[in-house]
Parts: sequence; structure tokens; C-alpha cells
Amino acid sequence: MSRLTTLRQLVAHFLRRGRFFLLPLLLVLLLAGALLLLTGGLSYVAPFVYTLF
Amino acid sequence: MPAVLGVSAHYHDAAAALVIDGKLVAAQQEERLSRVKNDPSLPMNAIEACLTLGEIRSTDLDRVVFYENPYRKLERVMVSALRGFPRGTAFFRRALRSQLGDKLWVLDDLAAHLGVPRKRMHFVDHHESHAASALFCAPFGDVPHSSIAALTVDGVGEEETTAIWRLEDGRPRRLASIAYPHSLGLFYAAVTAYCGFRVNEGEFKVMGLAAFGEPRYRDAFDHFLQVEGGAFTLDRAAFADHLDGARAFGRPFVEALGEPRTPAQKWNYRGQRIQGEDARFADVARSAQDALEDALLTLAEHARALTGATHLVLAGGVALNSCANARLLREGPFERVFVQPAAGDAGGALGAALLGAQDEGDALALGEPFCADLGVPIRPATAAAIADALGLRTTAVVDPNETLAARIAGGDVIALARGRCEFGPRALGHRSLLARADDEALRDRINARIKKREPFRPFAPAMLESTAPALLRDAPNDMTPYMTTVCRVRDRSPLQGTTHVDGTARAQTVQSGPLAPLLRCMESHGLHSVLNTSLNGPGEPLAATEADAIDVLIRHKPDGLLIDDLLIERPNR
Amino acid sequence: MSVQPNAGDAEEVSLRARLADVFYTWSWRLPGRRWRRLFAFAAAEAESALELRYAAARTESPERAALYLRHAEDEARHARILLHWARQARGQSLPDLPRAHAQLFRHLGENVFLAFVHRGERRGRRQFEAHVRFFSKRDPRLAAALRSILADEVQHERYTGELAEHECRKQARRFDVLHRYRRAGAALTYPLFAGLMALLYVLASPLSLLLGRAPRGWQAARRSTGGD
Repeated sequence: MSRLTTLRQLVAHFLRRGRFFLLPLLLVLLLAGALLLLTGGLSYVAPFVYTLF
Repeated sequence: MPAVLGVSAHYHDAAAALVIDGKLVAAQQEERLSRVKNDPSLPMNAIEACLTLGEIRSTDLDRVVFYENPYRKLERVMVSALRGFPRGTAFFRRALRSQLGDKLWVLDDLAAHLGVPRKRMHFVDHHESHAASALFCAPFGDVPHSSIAALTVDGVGEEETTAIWRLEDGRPRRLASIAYPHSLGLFYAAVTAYCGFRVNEGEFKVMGLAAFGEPRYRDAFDHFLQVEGGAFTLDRAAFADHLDGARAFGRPFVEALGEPRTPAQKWNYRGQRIQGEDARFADVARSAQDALEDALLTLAEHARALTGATHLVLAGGVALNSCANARLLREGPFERVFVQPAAGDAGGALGAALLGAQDEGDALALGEPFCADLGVPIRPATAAAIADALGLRTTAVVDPNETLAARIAGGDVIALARGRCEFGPRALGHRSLLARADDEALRDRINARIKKREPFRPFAPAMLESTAPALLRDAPNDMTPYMTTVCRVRDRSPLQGTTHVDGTARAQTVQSGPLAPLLRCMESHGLHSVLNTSLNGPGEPLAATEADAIDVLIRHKPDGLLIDDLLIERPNR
Repeated sequence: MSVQPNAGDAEEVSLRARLADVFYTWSWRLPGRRWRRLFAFAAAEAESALELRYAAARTESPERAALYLRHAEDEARHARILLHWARQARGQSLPDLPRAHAQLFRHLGENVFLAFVHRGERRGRRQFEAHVRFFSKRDPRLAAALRSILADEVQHERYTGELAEHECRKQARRFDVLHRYRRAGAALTYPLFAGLMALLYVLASPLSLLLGRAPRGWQAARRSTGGD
């Protein structure tokens, strides 16, 4: 629910600034962001783990 | 009892600050606790430390204030990437990854980690945080608000890179601003990268290097950084921050100045001179530093004209350029100039917390001298137990200041940890390495063996404010207690180990605090100052806890570590 | 499985070790692999050093703080050794080591942290045994350097094994699996994300015509945009 607040504020910001034409781009970007979050795509630290390849 | 937490994070040097009842009770940089230099990650360790120091739980927080507007930031990133088409493909990918991965969600993440309702999460503008950190912490209690202007100058906030402020009804009000991509912070970052240093970290090194050079490349820099109408613009073709933040300079730099320096190469430095090919980089640094200082002077004059103020406070990463600050005070249009020690992004947490406290209805105590010892304390008993477990020698000394003074006078390098850790990049005596200030050989030894850093980098002296006039040509001022400026050293002052090649020193003048009793003891040994550098090794953050301080002792081998009255030494010394 | 500091020279090796030998014999020979892998090892060691210094500052036990500090010192030394060999293998300077760590001590708690470190050290020791075997004839100096690291790994494996509570090992294993999933997720997702972003950038580029130029010089003040 908390993230919905952020989304609402984000869209409100772009509308307030009159940058309507950036909203479709923003939508696609947010979908890509969801992909990153779901797959742990931001985790790249690896202590105590030596790479195999 | 309103409790407000300020947070800066996700760019560089994350930090937290806690204000309770309008009073700043704690401020802590994340790097000191995570042990990652300039750690940008969400500062949960620093937040925990602040809450512990304030003796409250996270659920007691009435307001949490983030130091910038995440939505404006995302907008600026999108807009500048699109403006840079088609060259910004890699930038677009990288920037959007971090924006969408964590930066956009920072308020949600904070709420979740703290267990605080999302509606208590707020944000303020980046430069407003900086302005508040400077205006609310300035020691100008006797001065009407209308006489104080603030100039905030950094790489980039949301869109602004530079802004002029003044206090209206006790709140910072922005009068004018310069927008990205025209940025003095990014200008200096490009020079930093060109000289082979890490951006957002090596800027101090460029400033130190400049003292060895001649401004031979000034014409080129006047082209890269054009000053007119009280403002400045960058020749964007010369800069690559929108393509590669780590490289930051473009092809015109190479055409005008030659090939950039390979990082981490040994410096050709002998007899206080930078020689050979490296002399070119000293000249580049000198030219860039002059260009930066001239631009800052122009901005200061514009701020004066706009506000009519007589007093100036500065904040933002560029305000950490102590040489520029000295020139602003000496040649600029203001009677007094103040820069608080955490002028960079860490200080944004401080400003955000103070603004949040105002929004909670707190009256802030303005005009008091700023105390930088806002971080975690150090406990001798814990240190003794760790030292014992490591087989180190521990001694309880009867008169710690006299012991320390005698050891320093005898030529030892001693680590000193007392009380709460400093906030900001400078060690002010709470987590310091100390030595004689009059010994050039000792300076070289500390550079080579303990700090393992570039041989040309200077060290700073600390001295009692009462003795400063005998040692320095410049009088102590509002910045000297925090080492945010430099002073010209008198001829034949016994500061040989701490005077830079241009005859200046980043002197710390001391009236109270942990170094005051030590400096008084040193007088009896015929010494009027002490070399004071940060308690850390190369590429490491300042030591904060007992374990960190002992880690410096065992790995970097100063001659001893004094924590309150506990002296710790290596057994085979 | 017995722990032999000089296991690289041992005559009898297990089936697991034989499989590792086959794998590494192939993989060390891939072009550019040697410096990249040595560099990645150095990065893992440097990160581990940060984790351990962090743990030393947070543990309640001075004895453990001392052990973690010594361990961190070893890891930092290993990183220096491996960087040296990576540089040699590449014949030119290397990128900066990444500077971050996962703050495992905070996320896992001390006991699970120890169990996780124990797992990592055991896995590292087995891998290094295979690397030492691979290089002992082909590059004896590198083998000797790796062997010196191996000796420390054996000691780290032992002390963390002694301290790690048995019941925490399951949790450490679970975290290890999750950790690997996230690493694999990052490796697989990022190229996809990068491709998507490149495409999006091109598709969105006409929008730049609507944006106009960035402003220059002083702009008049706007209202602050703070909010909640």
C-alpha cells in the first residue's frame, strides 16, 4: 500500500509540472522497475562467495 | 516532545540526524558504521545509532524527512537523458536502474525499515536541506536574519546545482538558482577524474595538488567554465557526467590538456616538487582551482547584490573546498563567512531534520556555536577487552593529556579517540591521529607508512585559538574551528610538517573540546600546535567504534592508541 | 572430509574434487578468464573483509571482535595478493574493486552470520584446493600464492565452525540458496533490462523535441517542492 502512495505522488508530480507526455514512458519504466524488484536484479554483492565462472 | 529524523542517502555519503524538541541530539554518517567509504546506501546503521543516542524508538518518531525530492530527481534524470539522445544510452540504463530499483521508493523503504506509518515520511528539496544545514548552524546569533545569505553549490540536487537563499520568517527562502547541467561540482568532478582520482572522493586531492602548479591552462578552463552576468555556464561538450559519472570529462579536455592521468600510478614527487609529466597535472589542478574560485567569487558578489547581506554561509559539496572558502572570506564582499563541517550530502540529513522540526512547530535555537561531536561514543572498557583478546598491551594512564603530549613531543604518532565521533569529513580531535606539527620527516612517514596516500598531500595543524595569531597571518575566523578553510602561515612558524607548499595550512583553532587540554599540556614541552589527521587508513572511513580504532592500530601501526585514559600499544613495539 | 592445508598436493582426491578438477581445467583456459576470475576472487575477499570489520564493530563479545578483526586482516591481505596476480595476468591496470557489502551480520544475526561464513569458507577452501592442484605444475608461483590463502581459509573454516551453533546451519543454508538465487536473478535480468532500456530510449527519443533546451544562468525563485 505504501508504494501506491509513492506512485500517486509521482504521477501527481508529473501532472503538476505539465510533463504529461512523459507519463507513458514513466509507465513502461515502472514496469521494468517491477521486473528488477521481483527478480532481485539489484543484488550484486557477494561476500564469502567465489565466482565459479 | 517532537522527534524528527533527517535522512540523506542513495548518492554519496549517506547520513542520519535526529532533532528532539528543536535540539540536534545526534548525527551520524553511515560510512563510519558500515565501514564502506562514502557509503551511499540507506543509512540504517546510522539511524539506529541516532535513535540509541536520542534514547527513543523508531515508533516514537513524529516525522522522518528525506533530504531531497525523489520525484523531481527522477524527472530530471529522464529529461536530461532524453536531451542527451543518442549519446546517453548507457547513462539512461544505469541511472534508471538505480532510480527505479531503490531511489524512487526511498520513503516506502524507510517507513518499512523503521516500522513508522508512511504518512509520517516527508521530503524537502536537496538545496533547501543544504541551505538549512548552513543557516541553522551558523554562529551568527548576534546578527539579524536579513543580514545572512546562504549560497549552496554542489554537483546537482534535483535540478539545481547552485542557489542563493536568505532566512524569511525563520525559514530558508530561495531567491535564485542555476540549473543542471551547469554545475561547479560537476566541473570539479571532471578535473578530479582527469587527474586520475575517484570522483566524489578525490576532490580534496586536486585542491592539494593545485598548490604545486602554475595556471598554464587557465585559458582552456575559461572556455570550459564561462562566467558572466553573475552566473556561470559549462561548455557541455567538455563534460561527460551525463554519459559516465566516473569519467566525467569529455574529448575537449584531452584536446586542450593532453592525455588524462592513469589512476593509482606512483607520483613523481621529490623535494616538495611534483616533477616530470605529473607537473602537468599540478598545472591543470591549479588552473581549475583558480577558475572555480573566481566563479565562486562571482556567485558571492551576486548573492550580496541580491540579498544585501553582510554574512554568508555556504553548503553543498563545493563548500568543502577550503582554499576557495579562504579566498571568499579574504576577497569576497562579506564580513564573515561560515561553512559547517558536514557541508556535503551528509549535512543534508542535518538540514532535513531541522526543517522537519520547524514543521513540527519547534523553535530552533539559532546562532549557537556548532558542536560536531554528534556521532557514536567510544568506550574504553570495551576497547580494553578487545585489545586483551588480541594480545595488545594496555595501560591505564594517570594523566592522559600529559602522557599524550610527552609521547607526541618525543616524535610518536598517536591515535586519539575521545567521546562522540565527529560529523563531517574532518577529524576534529575525537577520532584523530596526532603527531608533532613541526617535523617534515614525520609528515612524510605518516603519508607513506600509515596513511599510504599521495606524497604531496598536506596535513593540518591544530592550535589553541589564543596562540593562533603568533603562528598564522590570518586571524582565526568562524570556519577555523571546523577546518573548513585555510590560513596563511607566518614565516618561521614551527609548522613545517603541516604547512603546504603554498605557505598555507588548514589550521584548526581550538577553544574547547578534546584537543584543548592536550594543547595546553604541549605548551610545557615547548610545542604550540599538533598535527591532526583523521583516524583511518587509506580508502577507509574515519574510525567510529572501539573495534575500528583498534583495527587502525593493528593494521596501520601508529605508535599507540589512547582512548580516554586507556593507552593501547602493539606488544612488539 | 579432512582438511589439508597442502591438499593441492594430496595424492588421493574425492570424487567431488575430481569433478572440480575437470571443470576448472576447462574453465581456467578460457581466454581472459584468468585475470577476471582472480579479480572476482579479490573482490569477494575485499567484501568479506568489510563484512568482518562491520561484524567486529557490532558484536557484543570482545573475543569475537578480536577474531573478526584478525579474519578481516587476512581477507584484506588475500585481496591484495589476488589483485597482484590478476594485474599480472591482465598485463595492465584493473578496475576499482567494488566497495559495498551486504551487512550480513545485521540481517542474519551473529549466529546465522557465523554459520554462513563457515559455509563460505568451506566452499572457498574446496575451490582453492582445486585451483592449487590446477596451477601446481602450470604456474608454481601462483599455486604457492593460492596455497598461502588456502592455509588461512582452513583456519577460518575451523574457527567459524567451532563458533557457529548447529541449529543455525539450516538457516544459513536457506540464506545461501536465496543469495544464489538473487545473484543468478541479477545476472539473468540485467541483460534483459538493459535491452529493454536501450529500446525504450530509442522509442522515447522524439520526446526530447518537446523538452526544449536546458536553462542557463540564474533562474528566478520557485516555490520549494517539499511534501509528504
